[in-house]
Amino acid sequence: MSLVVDVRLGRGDLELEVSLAGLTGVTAVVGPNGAGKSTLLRAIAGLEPGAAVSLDGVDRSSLPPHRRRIGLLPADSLLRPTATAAGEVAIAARASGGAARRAAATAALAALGSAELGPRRCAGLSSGEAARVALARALVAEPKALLLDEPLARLDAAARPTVRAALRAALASYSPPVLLVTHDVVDVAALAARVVVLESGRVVQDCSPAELTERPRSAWAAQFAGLELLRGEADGLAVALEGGGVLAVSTAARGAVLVAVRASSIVVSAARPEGSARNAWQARVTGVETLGGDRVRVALAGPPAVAADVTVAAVTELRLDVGAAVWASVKATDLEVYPA
Amino acid sequence: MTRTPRLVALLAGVGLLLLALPVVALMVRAPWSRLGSLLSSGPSLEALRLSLVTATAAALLSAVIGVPLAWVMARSRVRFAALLRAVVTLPLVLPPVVGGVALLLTFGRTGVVGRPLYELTGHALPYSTAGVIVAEAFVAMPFLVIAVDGALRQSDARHEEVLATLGVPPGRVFTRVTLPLVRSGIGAGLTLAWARALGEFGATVTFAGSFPGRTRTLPLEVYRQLELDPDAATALAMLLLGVAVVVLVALRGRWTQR
Repeated sequence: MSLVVDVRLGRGDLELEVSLAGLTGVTAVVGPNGAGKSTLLRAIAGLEPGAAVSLDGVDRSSLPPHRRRIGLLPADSLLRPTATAAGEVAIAARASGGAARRAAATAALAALGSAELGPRRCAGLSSGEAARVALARALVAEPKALLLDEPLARLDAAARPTVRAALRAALASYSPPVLLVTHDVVDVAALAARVVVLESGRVVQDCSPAELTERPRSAWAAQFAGLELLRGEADGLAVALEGGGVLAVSTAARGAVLVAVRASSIVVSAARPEGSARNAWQARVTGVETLGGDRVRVALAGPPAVAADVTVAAVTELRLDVGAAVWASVKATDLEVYPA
Repeated sequence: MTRTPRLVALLAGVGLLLLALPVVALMVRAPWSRLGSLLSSGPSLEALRLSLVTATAAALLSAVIGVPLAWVMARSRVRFAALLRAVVTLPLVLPPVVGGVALLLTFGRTGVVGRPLYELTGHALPYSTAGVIVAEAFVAMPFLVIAVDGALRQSDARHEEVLATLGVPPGRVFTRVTLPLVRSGIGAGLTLAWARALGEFGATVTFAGSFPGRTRTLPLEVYRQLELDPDAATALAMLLLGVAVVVLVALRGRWTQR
């Protein structure tokens, strides 16, 4: 099955203009807060006006949400607290007749490895259990396309792996097109075959997950992939950066280029580093932020301005506080260069 | 905590007295020893029965048409909802006697709706038990609508939306999801509406008059007895006070603890 959407709508500050064709399998939708990701899904589901939607060439734009058969699964599970898990799933079952509905609900829960949740009241479920019930409720409706709006975002850290595994297994055996809004680069890598970057209501990149993590086309996408994006003018193996400074790269290019830098490949030292083929420049520390574990992210004003991931030990040894003067360096082979 | 300014404390005390003193006075002057016999007299029982029947009917009528009205109000766009809310709130601030006059002009035998209704069916609402129910519902329904509207606005509309996208038809969503989610709001609204209907005086006496057994409800009987037998009036007043206390307990702090 193939989904084609063409959304054009304005809501408050948001001007959404998104055209996506040939959506099959799982497509991740990523982007900063307020980019219009949730609004895009709501429009496709028919909850907002302004979306042209067709499935396998059949136009569904004029159908109300309950006839469109494009299921939405939001971050909040939104279960009726007084219903049992099986009863909550049964409400969306397509079968007619109470017994058939209940049987379909039980099967849907069992398919997610959650058959034991059936008789439990929704009010007593943990966030992870509720998420699995909500997923079963969405799947039992047999939607012709499924829209997942950050299905893992509201879960506690302990529940996330189990729900991600359940989601992954469910999507693997699910043929209709899926749009998955997420803030997690791991979700993109684990679940999606295609990724769409949405910023300020526009698609800025539409590619494979691998390409996104290697060659992001916007500053936000680069950050999402754990990269820093620099713009410049290439002349062979040297790139003159927009913000000042020149970087040596390992692949020759010409004209306007983007240079993707991984924060973990930036080396911070007290003195000019030894060795050849290295880009080295003097920098000043403008910010220090703990990433958790042993890692600390240090923001450096260049030029070029980059972020470097260092260890806590390095922070102590180099006295990396705001204002400190250091040297930053990066290997030419660690820089990804591609046309802007 | 800051110290309460003296003038504020004084005025607050006066305010509290104004509200509490009449209730205390009622209890002090109540003919406790004769309470049983006064309440079980023919006219009292008749009025009590009529009041229970009409107030219950008015509360149920309010729920049947008020819950859908609250739903439309809570789920429609802001500007339309504001207009609806104004219309629904009007009977709350309108003097009940004005409501009674307005009802007469609408449903009276020569009224806007009453005349065709009378010509068609031979029945007219004023001065009938049905008229009492309509008058009570007119005054009491806003309480229910506002309570349910509040509950609906607190409940998550996305819940209904998500089920719609999963193919659940709107009618099923309303009965299976929306109504259960606002059950406590409907309960509170029913209780409030019932209590308001039970105490209704102005609109009832204007629209339905005071005919024993037909339209003379408890409040009307209290007013009548005040001139004939003040002790009987006080006893009936005690009864209504008791009902008010029970309603307060039934709402379990919904209004007192917020």
